[in-house]
Amino acid sequence: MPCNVESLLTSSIYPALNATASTDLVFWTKATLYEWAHEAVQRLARAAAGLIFTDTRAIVTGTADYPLPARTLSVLHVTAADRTIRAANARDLEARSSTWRAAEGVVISHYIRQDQGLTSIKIYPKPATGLSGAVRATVHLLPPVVSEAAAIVAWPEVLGGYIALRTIAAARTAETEAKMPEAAAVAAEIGLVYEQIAAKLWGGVQ
Amino acid sequence: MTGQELTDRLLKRVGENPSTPRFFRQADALAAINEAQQLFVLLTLCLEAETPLALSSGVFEYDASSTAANWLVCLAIRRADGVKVQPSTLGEMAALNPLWQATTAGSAPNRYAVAGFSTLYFTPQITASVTATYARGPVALTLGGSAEIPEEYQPCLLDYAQVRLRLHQGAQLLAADVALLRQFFEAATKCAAYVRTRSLDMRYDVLPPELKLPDFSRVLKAAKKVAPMLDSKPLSE
Repeated sequence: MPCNVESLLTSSIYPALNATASTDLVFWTKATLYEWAHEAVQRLARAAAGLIFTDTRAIVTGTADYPLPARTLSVLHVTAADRTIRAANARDLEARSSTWRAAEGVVISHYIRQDQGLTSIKIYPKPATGLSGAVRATVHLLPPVVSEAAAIVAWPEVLGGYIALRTIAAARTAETEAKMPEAAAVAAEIGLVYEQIAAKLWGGVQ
Repeated sequence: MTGQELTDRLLKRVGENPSTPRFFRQADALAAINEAQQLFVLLTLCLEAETPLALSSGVFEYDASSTAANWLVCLAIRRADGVKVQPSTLGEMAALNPLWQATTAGSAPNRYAVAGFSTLYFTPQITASVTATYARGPVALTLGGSAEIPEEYQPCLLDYAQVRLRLHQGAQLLAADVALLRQFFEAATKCAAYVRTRSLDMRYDVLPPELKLPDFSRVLKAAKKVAPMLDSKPLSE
């Protein structure tokens, strides 16, 4: 069951901010709380490779570049025409052939991550005539923006506490008359426990 | 203990009359206990369940959370004949067979890998039924429902929940109670050690994580002097 940030606000965040609903908030707004919840989601997504997606693109003869899905954080695995291909860098491929950028073949063996590996990959060699199938990239994604209109986070529900604690920590750190450094510090510290667990159970990334 | 018993105890701990609470609402207490139970389960992986997974020929990737909504971590996968499917990584599967995503020859799936929260990969891709044993999240506690973690550890939920309620009061009340977190984490550590031993005996593929737990007394001391650091760097006094 995914996390519902709207439910978390009502059940776990408003009470810690002396409110029962968004209309009771004195020093913060609901939109600001959503921004902090989104920052929490992004932070945990960078601590643990939770959201995985396999993107499939048809192989096009002569085309070496294939885009990665939006919000890609890292590439876990790539196949071309069902064959696993290995990560490489330009130096590796130059060592193989100084004309590697133009080389064509029917057995794709490597890929390199362009633009820090966030937006596209380049496969080597370029698919030659006769090669069909797909380039499949299994990637780790950053979750989409959390907002009032998109309050569901595709995470296990047990991680809801992390979002609530980080949001409370941010609210109690903000420069207002309700600033509470000690409450923020405790909430943030418990949040770090969640981050450790997430990294160990689902794999640390960046 | 039921949700009603736990919330009553928690409200008494924070100086409320459970029948007529004035400062803390019963719903707030219940939410704090739920958060405590969820964190305890994450720390210990003490709740397990099994679910059948129907594998199809030619399909290498499955989302386990579509079958088991409260899926946390895959502990083991067994075939219908009871044989364990061996855990691997995507890299190992690729090293053993570069065409692992398109291998349909074989009598049964013999390796699986996990990526992310709940994505499972199998090779070879054969129509088969397997059983996944997984660590699951707890069902949300209601006033009429019962806490799911082992009964001897249920009082420690109140330790966490008490601090959680104090978060909105802060200052001395929070400082006085924050040591209770240590009791909560010690109870979770003890339970996790038991689950870890049992999981090894059961030949599970994932064990409860061993964590470096924070020193909350140090956190509070530091917070008095500087604004809290919200990154992962340790706070210096």
